[in-house]
Amino acid sequence: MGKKVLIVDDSNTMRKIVTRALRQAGLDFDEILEAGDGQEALAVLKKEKVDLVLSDINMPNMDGLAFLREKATDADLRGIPVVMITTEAGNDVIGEARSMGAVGSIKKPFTPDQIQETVGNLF
Amino acid sequence: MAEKLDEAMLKSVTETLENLAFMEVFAASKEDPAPSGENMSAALLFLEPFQGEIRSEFSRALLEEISETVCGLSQEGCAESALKDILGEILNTIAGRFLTELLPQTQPFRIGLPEPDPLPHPEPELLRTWHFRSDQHPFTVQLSKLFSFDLLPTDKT
Repeated sequence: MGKKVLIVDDSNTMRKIVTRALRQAGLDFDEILEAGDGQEALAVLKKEKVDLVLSDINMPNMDGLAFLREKATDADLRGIPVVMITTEAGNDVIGEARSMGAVGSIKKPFTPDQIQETVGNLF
Repeated sequence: MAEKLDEAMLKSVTETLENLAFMEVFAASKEDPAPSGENMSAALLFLEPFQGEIRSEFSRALLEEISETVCGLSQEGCAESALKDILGEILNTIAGRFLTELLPQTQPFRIGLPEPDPLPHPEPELLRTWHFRSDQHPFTVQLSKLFSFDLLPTDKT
């Protein structure tokens, strides 16, 4: 069965850029789902069987770290891998994301090769 | 310090536009024509480790070209909201890359969310402006001098 990827970002532009990079990276997925913030992402995860989440950190309503925190409290959602896509740098933000369950991170702007390198082995 | 800022800004802008929109960017001079026609702008705050603001102004025509590349939207079909979103994301990415270039690797930073159509800066004489060109379209990026970068030269120096 095809894999589903959820892209979480308040910017429609960035969701399209990530989609484009995923396709150009040649990754094997069937469907891309989108959410505009962490709250929407949680709602999608409760309805759909998602194989991978790519999430921004800096978002209104519920940011990426709060999303990770909430997701970790749900036994059905806890195991879904999340990769953070962000402009935020510094070990503490990424470290905090990893401590809450993120499996990797990609810094903007990124190339399809960087996407492939970070998420390729998650498929 | 000024040179370091120039290098960081040029690298941030070129990498962002090349990777997001596959566009080649060149540094321009302030004597080059400013964005003409209908322009759009956005601003974003630097929050930590220092406070400041970064702004950018693009022509609508350039944003429509970028939109076609990024979103596959035809230039005729570009809603205002889509163009604002594109500019916001460009500015967000430039800001993050700029701070990554400028600060030590282990230095965390935080930036705000991009705001479209900001009010004119209350003290324009405190702005430092960088001029760029992509294809035939000029655009600008500005930093406010609300930094702790005491050596940040403004347009007047």
